[in-house]
Amino acid sequence: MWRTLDYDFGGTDTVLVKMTDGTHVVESTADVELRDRTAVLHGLHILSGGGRNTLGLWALPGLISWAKAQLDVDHRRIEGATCTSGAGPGCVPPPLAF
Amino acid sequence: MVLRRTDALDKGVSVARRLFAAGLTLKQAHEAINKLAALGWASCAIAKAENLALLSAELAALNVELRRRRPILAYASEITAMRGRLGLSQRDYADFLGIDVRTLQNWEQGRNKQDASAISLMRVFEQVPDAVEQALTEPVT
Repeated sequence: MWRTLDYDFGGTDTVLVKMTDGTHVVESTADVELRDRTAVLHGLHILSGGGRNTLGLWALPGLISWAKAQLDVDHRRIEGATCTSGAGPGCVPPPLAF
Repeated sequence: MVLRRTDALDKGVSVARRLFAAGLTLKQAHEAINKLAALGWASCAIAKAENLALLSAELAALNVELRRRRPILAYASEITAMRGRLGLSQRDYADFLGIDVRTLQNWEQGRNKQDASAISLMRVFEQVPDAVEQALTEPVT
């Protein structure tokens, strides 16, 4: 079960959130835009405390569900920031919808 | 101040958090890491009270170099020194910059001040003279 450890939003649409499921600690920042019942996250950056790729796909659905409940939306669309490492540095990843 | 990415931005969130602590708004910090990811550099305003040496060291550990903008207006001696390091006469230097040699002489002797774009061009020319020469000329066909 994910829960918020800390957050900042500074009165704008940009958020900086630290959350945990008891095993992982994840920090993320993004510009959040609400379109009807969809939250669009622009320029999403994620930092997993255990290092690169430690969050794993199995933990993502729970994290996404939790975030949707927090934002009171039915859908979430992620428009990630430009990759600077991995297989495609310089590439903007395609949007993901959940 | 200018931020420059030196490697992969694996800890962009940490960079944003540190910039936020240094006085940027959260939105500015987020914009900075997006630009660092996309362009490799970003400019930002750091609070004057910030310990810049400490901030620089902390950002360096996150693959981000903190750089200070050089003053836009140069002293006359700096212009002479830049030309000297390139080993050019006043006439050759003025030709490369596309200005009248008397204009250059006035700058070097402090009689007139160059504008911001001219000093920027001179500094770029000192760093990458071949690229500037290529950019300012074209083949005759």
